[in-house]
Amino acid sequence: MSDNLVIEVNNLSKQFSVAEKAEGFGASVKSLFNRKYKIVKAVDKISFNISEGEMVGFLGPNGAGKTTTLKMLTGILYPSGGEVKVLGYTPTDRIEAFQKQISMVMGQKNQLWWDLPPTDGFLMNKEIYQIPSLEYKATLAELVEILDIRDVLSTPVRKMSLGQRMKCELIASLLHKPKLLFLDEPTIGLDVATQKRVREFLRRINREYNTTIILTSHNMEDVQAVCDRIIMVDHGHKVYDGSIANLISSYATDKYLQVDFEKEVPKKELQKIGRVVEYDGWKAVIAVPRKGHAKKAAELLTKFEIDNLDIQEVKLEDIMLKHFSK
Amino acid sequence: MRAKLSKLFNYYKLGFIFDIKANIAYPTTFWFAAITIPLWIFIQILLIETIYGQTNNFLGYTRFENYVLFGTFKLVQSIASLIFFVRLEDLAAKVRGYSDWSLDVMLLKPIDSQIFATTGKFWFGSISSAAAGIGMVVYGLLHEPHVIPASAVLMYTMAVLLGVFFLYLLFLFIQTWLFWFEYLQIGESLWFTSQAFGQYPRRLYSGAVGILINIVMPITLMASVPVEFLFGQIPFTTFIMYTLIVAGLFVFTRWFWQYSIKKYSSFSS
Amino acid sequence: MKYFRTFLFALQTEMQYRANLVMWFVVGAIGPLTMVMVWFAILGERSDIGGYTKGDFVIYYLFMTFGWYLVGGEFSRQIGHAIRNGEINKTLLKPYSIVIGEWASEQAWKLTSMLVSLPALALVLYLMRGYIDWSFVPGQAIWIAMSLFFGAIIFALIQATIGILAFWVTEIWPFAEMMDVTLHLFGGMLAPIALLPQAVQRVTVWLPFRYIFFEPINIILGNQSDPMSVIYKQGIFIVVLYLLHVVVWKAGIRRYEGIGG
Repeated sequence: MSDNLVIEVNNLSKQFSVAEKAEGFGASVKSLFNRKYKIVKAVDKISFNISEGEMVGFLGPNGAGKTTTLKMLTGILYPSGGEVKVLGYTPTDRIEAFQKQISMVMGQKNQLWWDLPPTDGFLMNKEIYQIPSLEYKATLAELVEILDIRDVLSTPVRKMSLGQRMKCELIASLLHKPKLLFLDEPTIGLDVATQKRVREFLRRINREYNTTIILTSHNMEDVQAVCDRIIMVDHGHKVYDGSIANLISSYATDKYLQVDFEKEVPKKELQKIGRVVEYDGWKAVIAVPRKGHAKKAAELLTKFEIDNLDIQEVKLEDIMLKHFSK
Repeated sequence: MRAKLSKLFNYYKLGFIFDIKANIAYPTTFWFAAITIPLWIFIQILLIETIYGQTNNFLGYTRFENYVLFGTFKLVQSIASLIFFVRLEDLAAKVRGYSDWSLDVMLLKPIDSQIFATTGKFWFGSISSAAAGIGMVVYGLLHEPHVIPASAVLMYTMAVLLGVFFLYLLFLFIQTWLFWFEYLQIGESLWFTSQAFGQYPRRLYSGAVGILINIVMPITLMASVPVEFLFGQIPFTTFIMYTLIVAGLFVFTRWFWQYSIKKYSSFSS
Repeated sequence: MKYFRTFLFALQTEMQYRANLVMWFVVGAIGPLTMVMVWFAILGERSDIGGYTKGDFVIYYLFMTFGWYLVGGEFSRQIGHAIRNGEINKTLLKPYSIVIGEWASEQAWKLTSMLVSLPALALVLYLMRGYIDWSFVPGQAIWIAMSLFFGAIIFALIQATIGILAFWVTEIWPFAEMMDVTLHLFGGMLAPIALLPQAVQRVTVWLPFRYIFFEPINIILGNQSDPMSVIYKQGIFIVVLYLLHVVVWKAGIRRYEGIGG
């Protein structure tokens, strides 16, 4: 990771005017003549900088403004206010030199020809990005190798599984070796093995090509596995910007004790130790204050017959749910 | 500049090849279209026969001249559909985010947004209509030969191409409204039905309607104007006038497109 | 009643999308408008062609535009979709007919379109009042209403049968297109059947299409001296088409359930 700034965002805002849906039949008729609109602030004065080679995750509940922010960074949406510079360019100018250095992969959306093998879609990208033939062949071979999809290259996209399609999408997005890769919910709908593969792949291209990676996801494992830094967004505001470890230690006031008992223990007994998060008779997860969690663990060990005890960090999801959704 | 043109050429070439491949792989839609679309020609033939059952001369056209007129209309309509129909028709789903090829993805690419989002895919289903159109033109000319110099044929061809380009601009203008109205599903139907004005002689339209259909939005470029060139009824300078009109429409529709992209708030978020 | 709720829900949806309502009317009006212009050009100074005056042509094509909202539609495509994407599965288990449901849903856009087009209709009638020479005969009202109603049923039955062809074919739009073409050729949508070439006129007698729009408008114009015979023939076609629909539906359902949907 270098100190070279690739993204500079200053008080960026985006608002939409949304028609209010009329409730009931009478209101529907009224709305024929007089449609009411309300202003929705999707992104509200957000500021941050990202350096080359960073791997940043955008987190937040639905409607928080993550995807809207990404779309402003890539030039798809025009900001309502503030400034954004990506690789020194204003994204909405859509200068070719800028577009050739970025790429975006969006969850269920694809850019390949549905009825044809992915190689045809790759060829189209080659032409659009004006990738020299030799470089194209080398990059394609490399990416196919890493993602291990040589077998399906001649299969029409419509006949592929979602996992295979996503891999092809990733290849299509990286053929021109972009400096900046944006991913919007890239693992959505994928099976666990493929999700892992995709995460490993992202780490590898960051390592080998120094590609800056910006990722939005609902899947905490994506973020924890791939990103060094997270920016949390809620109701259009930035509520956190820093490392995951820091987030957990700053905001996680609890630790989790995951216990497997030798025989069934009543829930009431466990509630004397701490807050019972999960309970299954023979198993339980108990939340105890961070400070003095070791003492609580010792208490459990002495009071009950225990088969196994794990001390765990609070999950990222729980921090988000607890602190950031209002 | 050369690199840009070369990129565009390759883009269209690849799109053309891919669409042929897709049609070969899944030919049902193509065959259905190839067979059903020309059926509409029977309606027009019936209309021509009905009209000329009541009169020998309809707005200065004899029966067989009318076949040439309608054949030209069909030809221009088919070529415009072949080249420009797919992407523009698809735009509705893309702007809404329903299509799996979203407009967002297209806006990211280093290629002009209008070119990428509104051109580049081809609809081969209209080939049979184009053939039928040519057939009608030939039929009309064979039954009522005219003296047609090479220059007239050239003017006819150029007017046909101008008509095709005008139809693209018309469809583009209609579809650009998708960015402004929540649920405009009607673009394709509006484009096809408004072409109905184009199958009749210019003389049919007078007054304000005439100015609109013949000059402001010259739909009569589809048939009446090329045929008048073919029969030597109008001078070359008229072509210059129409070229200027179409050029003006191009500037306007492009501005409208680019302005609408700015306003675009992608519905899928 | 469940189908009325379907209709109401579709109506609410229609109101959300105002731009569409106006535009569909414009689209529907263009074809007939050009035909009126063509007939006016042909008539020139003549008072009538085949008994049709300028005013008659105006009313004829106004009916073709406006009457579409009363009698016409295109719910065959909706039925086709419902079968192809499995939506029909939900309804097969319940006492709910997808065909009637789609028909009910379609009446929503037809009603709103009709209401939206009323001002335009009034305007055209006013502008063209110099040509129109039509008087309403109260005695005709019942025949007009019945022929319109029966015409709508004939149209609906054909659409319904086309729609359920989706049990066999992946795309029904070619058949819907063919119906459109046939309505124009043999149904009087292009031009009054009485003005078409004789050969075509002879064919139309044996097909149900002229009884959808053409015969009702003929009664409205006062050109039909024996409206009862029209109603009678419409009735025959309704019975035949209904039986055809039932046969096709049963065969289709057998095929659908055999495959497993």
